[in-house]
Amino acid sequence: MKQKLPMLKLMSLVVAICCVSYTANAQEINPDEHLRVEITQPFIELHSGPANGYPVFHVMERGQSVYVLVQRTNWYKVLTDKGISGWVSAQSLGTTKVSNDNTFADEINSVTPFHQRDFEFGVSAGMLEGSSALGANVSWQFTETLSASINYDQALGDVSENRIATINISHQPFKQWSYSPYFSLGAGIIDTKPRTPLIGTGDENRRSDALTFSVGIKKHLMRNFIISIEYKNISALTNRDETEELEQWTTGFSVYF
Amino acid sequence: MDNRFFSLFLALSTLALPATLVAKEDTTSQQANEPVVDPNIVRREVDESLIDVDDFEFGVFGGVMNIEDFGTNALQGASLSYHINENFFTKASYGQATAGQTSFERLSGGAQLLTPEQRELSYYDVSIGYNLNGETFLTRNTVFNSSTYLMVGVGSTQFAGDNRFTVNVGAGYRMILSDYFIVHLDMSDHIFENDLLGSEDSSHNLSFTAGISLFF
Repeated sequence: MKQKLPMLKLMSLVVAICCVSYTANAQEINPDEHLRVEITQPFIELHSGPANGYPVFHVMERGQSVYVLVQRTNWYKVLTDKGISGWVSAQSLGTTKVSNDNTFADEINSVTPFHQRDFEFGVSAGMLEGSSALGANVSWQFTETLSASINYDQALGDVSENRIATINISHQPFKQWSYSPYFSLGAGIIDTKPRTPLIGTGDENRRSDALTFSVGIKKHLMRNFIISIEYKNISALTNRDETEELEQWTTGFSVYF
Repeated sequence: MDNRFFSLFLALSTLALPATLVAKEDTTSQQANEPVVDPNIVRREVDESLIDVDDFEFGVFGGVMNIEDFGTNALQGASLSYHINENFFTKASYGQATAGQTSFERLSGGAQLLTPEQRELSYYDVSIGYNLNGETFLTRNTVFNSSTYLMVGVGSTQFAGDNRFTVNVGAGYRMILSDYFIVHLDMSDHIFENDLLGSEDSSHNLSFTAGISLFF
């Protein structure tokens, strides 16, 4: 019976396709709800899809106006007065006029500059003491150089599995640099779970407080992406006599808004 | 005679043309007194929400997964993708399946390697994909934009009481039916180390799924 479920799902998929493809063609335009731009360059090319490879099937000339409907990556879907819709790249649309002295590129500043970001969501991968580590983090910029973040890392090793959750404060002193360094301090908890062998019982899970210190470099890529490299030093304050120190190196990829 | 009349008529009308031009000039000079560009136009505030940004894609998928040594079983899950540009996108996905029995368990008549709870497999991964954009011609008049993509990612699989670091490599095909609706097929190999049967070995677990997604 369980094997039949995928088939049922496929069947309902096919039915859904048929329904949606017929309903999706009608498009009502409410002028107040969409941006209208006037073309100032000799012509703009409308592609049949949001990529350079898609063929140009229509051209709009200087003086004509189009509605801008949707943005996907750096392509915009436009609709002409005659009901023809196609995709135009952001560069092509950049010099079209929104009002008498403002161009599309001036008005739609949808990409917040790197040094003015508010929120950042990222994932990271690297090594913690020889085992692979994966992590995710959310951070919020509350002053120009300081930000607060919540980090969650999971290191899956051969001997044990470590999970670290911390709240950090980061300081990024030279935001205007292309490769911008940052320092952060964090506190949280670290869970260590030894691997369970097939036969017999393993050790119990250990939970300890953790203090972290990290240093890293961030670089802004195109649009709103950041790549970073980070070194983190984790001190696990265990119940035993010694404080365990763990070192982690990761590279990260994040999106900011 | 006719020709003469005609040429006379032409000559007269060409002489009359400047008169009409002069008349026009009067009106244009009037208009010249008004500014061509009115500096008092109220600057229209462009509401960014006027343009929908559709970079995220959320979908569900279902299919089968062959868990090495444990048979082929139904797999279901969900994924969230973020499209970076026309060629690259990132995808975070979560899936779960229930493993069957190994051939050892079936042939030995009763010996169980795993408890039912340990047979539940679930994985999450974050991958990066590369799109090869194209079009699909279903019939003579029906064309949809489509894309064949390659993916590679890392993640973690929870199986047999353990969390294993997993690498996944795969490919898929996506057909974009409308501005927001997508159908896709994916094949992926989830590679992780499994020491369940004695020696530490990389196990390859292939999954084949179909899914639907929405852009938002």
